[in-house]
Amino acid sequence: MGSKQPPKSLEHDGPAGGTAVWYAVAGITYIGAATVEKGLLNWLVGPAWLVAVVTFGPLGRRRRRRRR
Amino acid sequence: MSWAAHQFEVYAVQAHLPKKMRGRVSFWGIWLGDFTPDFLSKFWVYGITIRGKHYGASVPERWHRGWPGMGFTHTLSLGVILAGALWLWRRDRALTVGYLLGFAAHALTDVNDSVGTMLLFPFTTLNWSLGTWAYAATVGGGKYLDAAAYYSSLGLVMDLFWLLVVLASWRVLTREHWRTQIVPADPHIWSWLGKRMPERSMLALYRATFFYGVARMVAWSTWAHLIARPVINGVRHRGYPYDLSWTGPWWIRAKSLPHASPLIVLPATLALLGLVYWGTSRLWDPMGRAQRRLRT
Repeated sequence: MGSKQPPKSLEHDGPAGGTAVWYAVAGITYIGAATVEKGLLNWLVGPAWLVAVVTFGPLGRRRRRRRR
Repeated sequence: MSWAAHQFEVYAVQAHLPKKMRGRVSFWGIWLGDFTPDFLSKFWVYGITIRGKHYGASVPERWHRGWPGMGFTHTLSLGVILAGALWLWRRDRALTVGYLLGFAAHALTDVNDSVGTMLLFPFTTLNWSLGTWAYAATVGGGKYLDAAAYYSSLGLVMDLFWLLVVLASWRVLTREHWRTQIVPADPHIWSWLGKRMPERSMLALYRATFFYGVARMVAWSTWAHLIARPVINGVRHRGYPYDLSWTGPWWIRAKSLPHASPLIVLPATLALLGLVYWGTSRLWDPMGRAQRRLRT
């Protein structure tokens, strides 16, 4: 396998299906917001929007579940 | 100019590397190379308006693609110079080759609009253009009119073409591809990021340019065809009219600069693309040896 092995620090962190939901959330919210406010359509906000939703979406959901 | 095509071609280049380079060319190098031409020139194309006064290029197409102007930012010669400087600075084959491929992809795909690029600069300042769609950046219309024209013309087809190229190579977007092909080619950057964010965030960051490309294509198209109510030749329209004819759309004057015969543009562009791939392929092994020598 050699170089084909992923680095140890990169661990799998959830089922692909669960992550896909957050990509969909990011896509729908970003396209919706950007259609109204074109200032959001730039190379900085677009990628940051996706990373923020995929990163903080699952965290927020987990916290809400714990509170319940 | 091309819009989301520039985001998609980053992944298309990554998916169509020569066999010996697969999994060894820096994704961030390709990204940076593809990003450089517009980063250096585009800010002044639309300009900015402060308290009613517009600051920006008086002739956007000359500023963006011509000479005198910033047209040299869209030439292969600048790509070679910057890639050479990157090599001298970092001695990193993966980054240098990725940068040159990304830069070349941007400069070559921009021959499609009616202004084109100065492919053979500095030997000639003639622009090379296929005139597939109208270059529509204007002082008055700004980004909105430019987007409306692009997404009403064959520019939309261009974006969809590159989207299909990436989707046909869908594995390039998978976690498996990212782990086995992308991370090993850029170990330092991903390792640095890995200490600061979880894997899902890094994977999202890798896919983010594709995401942004899809989003801007959908958002601008939606605005141009469902929301905007333009008045063209005194007639109010529900959305900008589509026109998929050559150098369309009909409702805007296609900008142009002194250019070479369109008949030789396609063969010349393909020849230059082949030359870039052949050149990087030939340099790949000697660069690898030089890199190893310097690091031992």
